[in-house]
Amino acid sequence: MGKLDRLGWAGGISFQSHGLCIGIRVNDLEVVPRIQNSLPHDAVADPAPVVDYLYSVYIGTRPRRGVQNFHQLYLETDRLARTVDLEDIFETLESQLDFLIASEAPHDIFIHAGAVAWNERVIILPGPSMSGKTMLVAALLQAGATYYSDDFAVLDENGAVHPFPRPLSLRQADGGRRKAEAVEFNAPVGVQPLPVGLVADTAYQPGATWRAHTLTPGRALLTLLKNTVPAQTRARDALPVLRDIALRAPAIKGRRDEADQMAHLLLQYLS
Amino acid sequence: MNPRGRQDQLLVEELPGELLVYDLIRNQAHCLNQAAAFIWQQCDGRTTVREIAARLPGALGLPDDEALVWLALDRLGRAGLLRDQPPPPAAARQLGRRDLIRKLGLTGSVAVLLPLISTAEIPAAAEAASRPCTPPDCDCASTAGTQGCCQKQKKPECETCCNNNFGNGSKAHDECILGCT
Repeated sequence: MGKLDRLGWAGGISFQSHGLCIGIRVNDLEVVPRIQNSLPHDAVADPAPVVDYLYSVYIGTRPRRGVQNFHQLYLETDRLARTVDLEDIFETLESQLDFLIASEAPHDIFIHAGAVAWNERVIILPGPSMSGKTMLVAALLQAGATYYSDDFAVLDENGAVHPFPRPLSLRQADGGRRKAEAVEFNAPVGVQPLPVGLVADTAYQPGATWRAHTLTPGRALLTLLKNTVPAQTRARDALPVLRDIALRAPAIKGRRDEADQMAHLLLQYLS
Repeated sequence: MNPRGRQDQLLVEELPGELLVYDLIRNQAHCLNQAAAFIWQQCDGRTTVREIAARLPGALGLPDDEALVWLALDRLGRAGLLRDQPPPPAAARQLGRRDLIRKLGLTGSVAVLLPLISTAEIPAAAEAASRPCTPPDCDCASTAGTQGCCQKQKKPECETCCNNNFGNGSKAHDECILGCT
């Protein structure tokens, strides 16, 4: 860490989120407001001099002729990004923060899943990246659901789902992605923890006809477990929580076509 | 040799009619249905295959047939849940689940009671949080193969997707990386 420590750091911020104390130092204080936009919604400023994890954001100095102006991002001594595009640094920082919190939070269990609330219960949509979770979350918001997350369902020790509301990362027709806030769908953002009402494992497949298979509690538990971020390191903590959810909430699985129709079907389960 | 179940480095959660077994060594989770769970629990190193088969009608309503036990032992062995696994007789080696249903003349409602184990690989945190989707789970309808899936994400997620799906240094990997914008 010595070499990194010797660079000129102008200051930084530190905050608490899900039981972790995280610091971010910078060599240019002008980027601090932008960095604060990357923090999780529940981040609370914490002036602790010692943090659990330290990120370093190094903004490249004014370029000289023939020399590229690289910005860099580190977690401890590991370089996470080196790029001439400053926005890439902030996006990488945001996704890395989410990953760190999801994998290291000491009490909450993070599941890779979309989550929306309807009638005081949460629909969990477990699945890997690119399985269509975000499109389905967006369709559920348009149908009137409350936004909890498009990426992580956060469970406490009682199995209640807490909000983790990042802007939705929506796929565009040209293959690109854009960020969208829940307000764009006139959807409220969840505030309080709510119990799970339905687990829906619905991978997108164009042209598919929806045929729901009800999962046994054991199969539902398997589905949740393989999408649990800290499953390998915290299996003993996660299993009882996921077991209770699998016993209390129905779980369905199937391939679906367009998200709009699927959204209304799912909401009917909780109506 | 009598079958003996493995107990070390396993976490077990009981559910009605099922057992969830998490293998801390292999990082796999197995869902055992009632028959598979029952047979596994009989594997104490002292009980013979014949004796286990004799208990099936009373416990589960299944026929007293050693082939059912051998099927379960085969599945349990593959899942890494047996410490001692006796070699099956020649006849039992060839029988799969469907063969057994036909052989025993089982109808649908009884057939579903046959031993069954569902297994899931449990990924490490990095994979679970950013594991890229591969066909047929992700939407690659408008592009070809996994490379198209990766290109649907912006950098650096696109590059992570390429690294996870193609060997470093391979032509496919290079083409995938070049396609990331």
